[in-house]
Amino acid sequence: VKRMKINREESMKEEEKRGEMVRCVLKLHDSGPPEREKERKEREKGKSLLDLPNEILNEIFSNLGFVDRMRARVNKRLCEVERVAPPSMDVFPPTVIHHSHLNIKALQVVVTKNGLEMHLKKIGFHGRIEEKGKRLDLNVEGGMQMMKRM
Amino acid sequence: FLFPIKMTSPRMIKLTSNDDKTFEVERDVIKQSVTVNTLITDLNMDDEDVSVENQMAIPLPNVDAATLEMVITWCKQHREDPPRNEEEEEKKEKRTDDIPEWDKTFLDVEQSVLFALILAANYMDIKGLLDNCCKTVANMIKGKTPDEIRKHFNIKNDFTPEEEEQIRKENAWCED
Repeated sequence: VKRMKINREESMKEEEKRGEMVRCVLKLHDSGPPEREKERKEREKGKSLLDLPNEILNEIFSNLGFVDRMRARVNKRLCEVERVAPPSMDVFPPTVIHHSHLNIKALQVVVTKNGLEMHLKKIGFHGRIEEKGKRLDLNVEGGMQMMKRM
Repeated sequence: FLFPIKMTSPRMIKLTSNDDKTFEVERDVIKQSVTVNTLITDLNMDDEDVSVENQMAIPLPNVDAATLEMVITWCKQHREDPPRNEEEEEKKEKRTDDIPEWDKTFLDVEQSVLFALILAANYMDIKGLLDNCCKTVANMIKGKTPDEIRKHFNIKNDFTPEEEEQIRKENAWCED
C-alpha cells in the first residue's frame, strides 16, 4: 500500500511538472503562431530592387537610354531582363527599314539630347538587321540584341 | 418655392491592408485602381442602399497599411487626372523628365518604401503611379557606372569572371 501511495504521489508530481511545461509552451506561443511571426518579419525586412518582378524591371529598363541599359547589367538577372526588355527610348530604326535584311560590318550609335548630337560612337561588331513582321531586329556579335517596332 | 436639397455625401469604400488596418476612401478616389474598381463592380458594391458601416471591406493581402496610406494619398492628389488612354501612352515617346513636381517630392522616399509602393501599384493596377515610380527608379540608375549601380541598390555581382569580362567588353565602347 505504501509503495502504491508513493507511486501515486510521484505520478501526480510528474503530471504537475508536465502541466507547467505545457503552460510554458503556451506562453511562448502567446505572441501568435510562428508562421504569422515569420510573415511579419519578412514584411518588415524591406524591399529591394531585385524583389521586383521581371515585368516591372522590364518597364524600368524601357525608361533607360541604351548606354544606361548596358551599364545596368550588373548581375545575371538584370542582364537577362535587359536582353528581353522593350527597346530603349533612344534606339531608332536605321534608314534601311524598307529592306528585308541587311548585313552590317559596323554600327554607329548616335546619342542625342534635345535634338543636339552629343556623342558618336562606332561599335566594332559584325551583325545583321532583319525585318521580322512588324519588328526590326538588330543582331550583333557578342549576344546583344536590340529591337525596335517599325 | 423651396425644394428640399438632397445632400449626398461621397460614396465611401473600405479597404483592409494585410496588417488588418481598414481605410475608408471615396469611391471616386479609388476608381484609379483597376483591381479595386473591378472588385467593386463585380461585387455590386455600388449599391446605394448599403451604408458604409454595413459594407464589406475589400482585403488587399499584398499591401501593408503604411503603403496603402501612401497609395490613397497619391490617388487623392490625382483624382482629377483625365483617364489614361493606353494606346496613346504606348505611342508616346518614353521620357523620364516628365514626372510632375508633386510626385517627385512624394516619391523622394527610402528605396524600400519606393519598391513597396511599386509592388502595391502593380497589384492594385494603378498605371499612373506605377509609371512614375518606374521613371523614378530609372532616374536613379541613369548616369551611374555598373559599380555605382551595385552600390546604390546593394546588388551582389554574381557573374563568373568570364561573364564579367564579356560584359566589360560589350560595355567598353560606352565607357570611354
